[in-house]
Amino acid sequence: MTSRRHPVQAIAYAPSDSSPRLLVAIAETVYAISTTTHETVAIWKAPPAPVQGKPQPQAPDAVIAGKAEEGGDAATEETLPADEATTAPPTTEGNTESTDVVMADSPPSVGSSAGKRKRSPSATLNPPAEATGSVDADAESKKLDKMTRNQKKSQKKKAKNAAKPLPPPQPNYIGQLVPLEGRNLIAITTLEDKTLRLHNSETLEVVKEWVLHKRPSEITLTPATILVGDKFGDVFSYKIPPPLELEEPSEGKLLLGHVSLLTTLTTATSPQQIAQNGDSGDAKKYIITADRDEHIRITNYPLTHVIHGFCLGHTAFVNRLLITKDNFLVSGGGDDWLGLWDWKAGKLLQRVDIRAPIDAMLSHEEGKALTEKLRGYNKKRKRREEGEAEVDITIAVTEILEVDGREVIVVLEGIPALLRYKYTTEGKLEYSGSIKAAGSVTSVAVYGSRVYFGADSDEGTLASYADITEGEITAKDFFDGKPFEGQLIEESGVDAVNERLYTVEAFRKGFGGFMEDD
Amino acid sequence: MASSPAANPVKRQKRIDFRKTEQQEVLPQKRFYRQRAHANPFSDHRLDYPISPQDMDWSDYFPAYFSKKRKLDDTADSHEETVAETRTTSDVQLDTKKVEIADIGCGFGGLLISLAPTFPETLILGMEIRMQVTAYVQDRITALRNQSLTKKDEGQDVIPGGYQNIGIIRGNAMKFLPNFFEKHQLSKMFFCFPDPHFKARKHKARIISRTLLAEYAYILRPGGIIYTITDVEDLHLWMAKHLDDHPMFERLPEEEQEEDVCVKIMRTDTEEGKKVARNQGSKWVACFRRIEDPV
Repeated sequence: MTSRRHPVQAIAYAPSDSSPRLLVAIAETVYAISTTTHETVAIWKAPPAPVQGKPQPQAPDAVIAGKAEEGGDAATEETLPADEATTAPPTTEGNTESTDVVMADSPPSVGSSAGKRKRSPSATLNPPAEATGSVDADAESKKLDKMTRNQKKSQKKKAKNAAKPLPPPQPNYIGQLVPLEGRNLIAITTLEDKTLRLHNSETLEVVKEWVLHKRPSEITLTPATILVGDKFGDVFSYKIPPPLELEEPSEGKLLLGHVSLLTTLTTATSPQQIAQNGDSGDAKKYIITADRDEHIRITNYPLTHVIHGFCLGHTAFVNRLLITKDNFLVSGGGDDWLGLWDWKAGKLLQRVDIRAPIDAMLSHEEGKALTEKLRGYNKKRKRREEGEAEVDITIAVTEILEVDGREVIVVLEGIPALLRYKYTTEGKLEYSGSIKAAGSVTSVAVYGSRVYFGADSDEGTLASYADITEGEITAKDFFDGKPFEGQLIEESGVDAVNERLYTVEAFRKGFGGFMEDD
Repeated sequence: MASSPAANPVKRQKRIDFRKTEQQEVLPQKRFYRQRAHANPFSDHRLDYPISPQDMDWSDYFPAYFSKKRKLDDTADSHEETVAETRTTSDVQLDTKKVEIADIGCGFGGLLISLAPTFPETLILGMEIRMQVTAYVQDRITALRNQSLTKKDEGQDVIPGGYQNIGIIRGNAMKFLPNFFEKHQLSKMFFCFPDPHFKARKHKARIISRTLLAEYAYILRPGGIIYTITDVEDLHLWMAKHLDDHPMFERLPEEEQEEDVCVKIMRTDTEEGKKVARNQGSKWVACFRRIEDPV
């Protein structure tokens, strides 16, 4: 296999009177590209993430040294203590944070996935040094037969930990790009060092930085704050500082939390209630959160200790939420349908089919090939059990966006197309066609009636756009022939990159065909 | 990861044999239902839970109070027989009641069984995450119900409610309470001797936390009460502090707390409470009332 281009994993349009630009994130780097000249006008590379794990004096020197040199450790030195202080030993933190996904996994296969890397409980992964370590501990514990089983266990554990070399450094991937309208700022999250930064949207310079508590799932904006939902299930709010107070230190405030893995969040406002006597009641605000355990929760904002209600009906993980122009909620995830909700009443109005369009778009053979490919991308992907019906393609919604208040665009993991849904006269959603992409759509953003998206393809274009009009739509190359380097994936890194790009299907339960149980 | 608690195949076989035999009225023995004391609330277990409270079929747990719900996707035939089958007591109007009291992490069910005759008209549900323990409580309730029915047939005095008003469900209350209960459905929630999760990094696994309290406030009706008891002072302080700090809860005055019959039962009748008493440990109680919703 020849070297492959790294797809765009996040994309955003930054409006500006003088020089609007498209922001694309490729691995650890954000490129700001002018939408008029298609030239790259600014680049920002995320600093290397702090090395995970306790600093261990007895750990092999070579490994550590190699790491420290690699990226000038100033940032590492700075962020590591803060991280330590908030979350106790990072080795274990990784464990709790990703329990939801990881605990239920099959034995570690690649060891490079975000959640697994720190845990690696199986001996197969561990280098010989450790194996002997635990054997020694074993022999020793046999001698001390007066000890309780627990004491022995913890001794064993200690011996194991001491012998374990630090895991290799992980690339600090860009998570999300969110332009702050009217402020000339962009909020960018990085996943490995779990940091939220505000950048100058012209130069991409960092103007503000918050180290987050846990790895972010999604961020969203309110007029005065940035809300951060994290993989641990919590939502924090960070105040957007006024221009002159960027320097002042500020901290996130815990608003609410799920015990399940939080996948996404959005905000909504209920329409003003006109009281009988003529004066209008205040419009009420809400935060809507979704989790891996099929819940959609509606919480009052800013009184986040009051839960307004739930939208229950999904039978698989919920991964995306959209509030439409008409103030309905559209939700999607691992189910074959999108939910259209009266969110205030918690009422499911419509199950919008996404299975049929996919089946119509891909032939049986294509579907099978694609499923195989996706399974190969993520070694942990659910194995088909014997006797289980053959599933063509698993549906995992990665994006739901509204264009111009006219139609809804849906992106599914691995599918090389954007699905279009139109509103019927009754306000329901109806499939109205698709826009073909050069490969799996890995990122999408909407501005006005134009949709920008990144695709995972070697031959096709890296970033495309399409203008949503009536009738058939063909996507065009964003770069318009201008060369754009991007990044190449080394052969050895292919698996790791795929695991980072295709993560949504992994939320499905029973993943790996095994669950922790009695 | 072989997950059976039995390391000893002989014991294990005994356990299986015991559980297989028809236990009509014999109370189960704990030694046949052993399981490690802790479960990870964050991991996926093979859990059964309804999509929403409206989808919940309570008839398996309270057969005297609920008729069998027919699932939408079920073909008619397979269910015909079960529909008519489970009418244990005919004197109650079916499907009129809802569960109002929940014992979260009910363990071996001591509190449930003491509460049953105290609130004979109220449905009380225990939730427990450990499978073997759940099975024990289920068998215990079944045996008590059968004993009660036999006594009734023989014309003897029976305990009010005949244990038909208590039920046990295996579930993860930290994740799935809103799947079982509607807004404001419950009047009392019990948290008795919860897992202390001493380490700071495990605090999110504690059953009382700032973020979970919002969920409990959603499920509890205004005026409803959260009861907590523990033998770990640190945990008691933690729970009391979080409830104190939460805008939706106010602490019950000392006298009111001491007069509450539930507090007495909680102190003396939980399995864990008895154990603590045997070891002459201290028990810490804190009760909080859910206040009215802010306008």
